[in-house]
Amino acid sequence: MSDGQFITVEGIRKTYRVGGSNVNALDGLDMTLAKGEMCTLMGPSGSGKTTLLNMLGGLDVPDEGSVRIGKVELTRLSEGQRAAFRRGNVGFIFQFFNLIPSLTALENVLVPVMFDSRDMSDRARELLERVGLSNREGHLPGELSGGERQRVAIARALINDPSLILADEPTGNIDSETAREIVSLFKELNSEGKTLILATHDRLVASRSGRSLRMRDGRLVRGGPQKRAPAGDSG
Amino acid sequence: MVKDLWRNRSRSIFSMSGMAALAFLIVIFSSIDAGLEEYFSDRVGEPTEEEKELFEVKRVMDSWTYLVAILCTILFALIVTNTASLHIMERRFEIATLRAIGLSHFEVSALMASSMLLLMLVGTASGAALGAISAPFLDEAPLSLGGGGLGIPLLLDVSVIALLGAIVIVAGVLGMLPPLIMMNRKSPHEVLRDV
Repeated sequence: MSDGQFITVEGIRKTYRVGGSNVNALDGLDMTLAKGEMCTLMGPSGSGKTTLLNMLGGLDVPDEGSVRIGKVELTRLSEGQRAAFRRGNVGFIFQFFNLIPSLTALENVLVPVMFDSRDMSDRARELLERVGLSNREGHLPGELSGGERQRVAIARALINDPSLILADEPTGNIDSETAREIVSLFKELNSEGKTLILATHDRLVASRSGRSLRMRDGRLVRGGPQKRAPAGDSG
Repeated sequence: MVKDLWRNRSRSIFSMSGMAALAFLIVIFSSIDAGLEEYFSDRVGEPTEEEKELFEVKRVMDSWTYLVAILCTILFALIVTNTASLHIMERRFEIATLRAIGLSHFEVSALMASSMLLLMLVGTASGAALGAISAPFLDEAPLSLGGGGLGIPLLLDVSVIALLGAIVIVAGVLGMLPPLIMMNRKSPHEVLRDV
């Protein structure tokens, strides 16, 4: 199943305990994605989009099933190994930007590499220039607009030149005009060969991605392979 | 993270003041202890009445030195724990973000510890400096409140600084451990889910 695929997700299940009851965030989900694809995950709140992104980025591990990115089986890695994998291979973009308020735009872009021996300041400046913020590198997040903050977050996600970019509601907290600019930036990154997965409610974002997957109740209901049989039924 | 100390400067100053007060207390107390030790180490012949009184002070100091050192260590550790816990709790989303973008437990812990280390260094250094400045004035301070007679000798030597250093290191490590353990127990995705 994984031949030629960059991302292979097989039968992942994840149950969270919320307020004394179990909630199936992911329910036997299968998914494959080729390198260089741009894909959106759509679906109502609580359908499992964020949980799936967390699994793909190695932030969380499934109770059952496997997640393979390239040749790396994420479920077999320790937490420390997954953190190292994220730093080198995955760029995370969040709905609320998640910038460090006491650091300037430039310093925020440099956060993922702050413990590296390499001096990445020039690359960080290049990335800020690329996202149109070269004149704002000394500004704190509080002095930037929502769109500018998201662009700083995108520059931060790109600092290590990751092959996979995961964005959770990247346009959920910005105006529609800025959202269009952000989506154009994503398209540009995608044209350079980066694989993007965007969890979104925004139809504009979905309409401009190459593939749109719809989720409901922890399963893909459109755009993905058939749901697997429950673990107990397999034999 | 060090910049956050300035963002919460009133708390930082409060914590540093507590640390400075403890450092001052340790310096003065152990200087008196060291001074008395030195005074009686080279004393020969029959002691005077005042020296007998001073010897009583030394006896009390000997039995209290360890207790004061332990109490100061506990108080110092509590200040560190309290400050670090608040610092970490307020920054839980930032910490989770750092973890999410690939920083290891160790790296995030080092960031947190570095800001606390700075507080400890500034607090301790200012308390120790205040103690060092005060020591000459307190040296030979009269034993009786009425003044006159034999004074209490003070000796600010390397053993005093070593004791202070040891207390700060032990208290710093003990104080930082609980908040760091608490910080690393929760997964970043659990914290970010609560945004």
